[in-house]
Amino acid sequence: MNKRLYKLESIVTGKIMLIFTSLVAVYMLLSTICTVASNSTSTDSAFIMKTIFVLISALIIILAGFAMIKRLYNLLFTDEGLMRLSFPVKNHEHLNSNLKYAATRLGIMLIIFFTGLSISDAVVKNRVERWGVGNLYSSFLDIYTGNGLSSPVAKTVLTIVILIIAFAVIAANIYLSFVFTLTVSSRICGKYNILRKKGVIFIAGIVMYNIHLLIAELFTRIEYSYSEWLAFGRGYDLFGPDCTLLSAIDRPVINILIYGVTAVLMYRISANIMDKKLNI
Amino acid sequence: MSTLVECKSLSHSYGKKKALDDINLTICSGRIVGLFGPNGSGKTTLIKKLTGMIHDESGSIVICGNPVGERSKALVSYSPDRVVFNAGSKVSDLLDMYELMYEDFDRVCAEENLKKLNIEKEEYVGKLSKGNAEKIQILLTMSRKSALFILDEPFNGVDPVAKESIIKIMLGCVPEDSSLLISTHQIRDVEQVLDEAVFIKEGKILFHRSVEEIRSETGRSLSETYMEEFR
Repeated sequence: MNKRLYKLESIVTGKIMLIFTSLVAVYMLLSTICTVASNSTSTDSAFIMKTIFVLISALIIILAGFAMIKRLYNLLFTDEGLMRLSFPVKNHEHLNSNLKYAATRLGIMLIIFFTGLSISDAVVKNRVERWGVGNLYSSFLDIYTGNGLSSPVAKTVLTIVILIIAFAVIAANIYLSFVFTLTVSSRICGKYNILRKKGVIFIAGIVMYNIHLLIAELFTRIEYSYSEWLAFGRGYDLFGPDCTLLSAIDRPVINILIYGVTAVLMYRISANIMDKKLNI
Repeated sequence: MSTLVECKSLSHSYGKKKALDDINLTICSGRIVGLFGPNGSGKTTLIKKLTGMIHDESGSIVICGNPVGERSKALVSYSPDRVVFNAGSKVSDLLDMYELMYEDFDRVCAEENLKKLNIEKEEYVGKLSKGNAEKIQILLTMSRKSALFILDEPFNGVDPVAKESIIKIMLGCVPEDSSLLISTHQIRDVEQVLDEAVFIKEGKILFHRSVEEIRSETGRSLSETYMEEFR
């Protein structure tokens, strides 16, 4: 049945997602053409072209994310929910299909986006400052230099794997924060028959934003404590060569753990509300 | 006649306000049942409980031996008290959606009824009149081969001619062993087709009896009895 819901998502949001994906692809092509054309004359214009590409693509991807969140809003807060929630499926399957469809479509857009960035980085090489993947990749390679990992292939694979997982977990966490805000708001509105739903969503959104700030602060503190423990507990110098590799890796790993655990928690609570406590 | 729906000690509150208070209700198969009561009496809350739109609180509901959940939803065909389709959808999109989501949806029957009502499949829901949009919602609901059909205020804001078409669709589509639960304020329009009536007030069932019994015992029509009870 989940496949049917997924198919329904693709029927309903297919057109708008195709438009968003096409826009990112078109901007990628335009940006690459402009970067190549401007490469021979001015490095500044190449950088400006890439900046415009990054900003517009990021905006389109964010809008696409909001289009998918809007589907969930419609399910929980509009009359459409009266129809969709009477489908013979468990309520949380609506959430699953929304998440899967959003992950697939936003994933495709991000692949196109990063491909565009990589092409641009390859074209301009070291003549201008790099954006995105190229920039992060270089930073990681610099950190690895002179440390435990000697194989360039191992360093590259490790960097890319950690970066992709960290990026995906943070993106999922942000998306699930919206999902969580909507399901909790829906629960509050349904339970107490609150008609001014937007006010409840707004307040829940502010609360969620503050929870995010707390998580970020917790993340920084854990990372700092961990580094201190490594540095002094084992007698390592915090900025010394022995600790450098761990410092490069521990940040994304702790990042993945904290944002991953909170994302899973938010998903579980949202699914539970939808299955057992939803009042439409 | 077998028991189709069994509600036991059903309660529900919105904050401090009790919408349903210890409801016990049994609906047998093959019956057309009217659910009547003034605004705020708990009709829609009861229907939402039956369709699984509302959870928690106390009591239990069993539909064809299944507690409310994905299995019971497959057996219940529900039309809400307002048109819930996206204005940007075409009628054909709705047919596709019902066909995709409900295994018991009879597309041939739905398309035949559409033709009878002179509604084009390529028409957008947003461009339809209120009556026609309502008719399509009822038509799609009734084109399933469900055990229980639930219609919440099916005549909301529709003219007498549209009302007549909706009743024809309703009666023409219900299989013999299925039941139909209709919640409406327009008792006169459905009185002739009902087998049973449930009167509900302030979250409690006042009575649940056959329409014949009510008529013979009170000597009044159902609508007159309603006026008497709730005046």
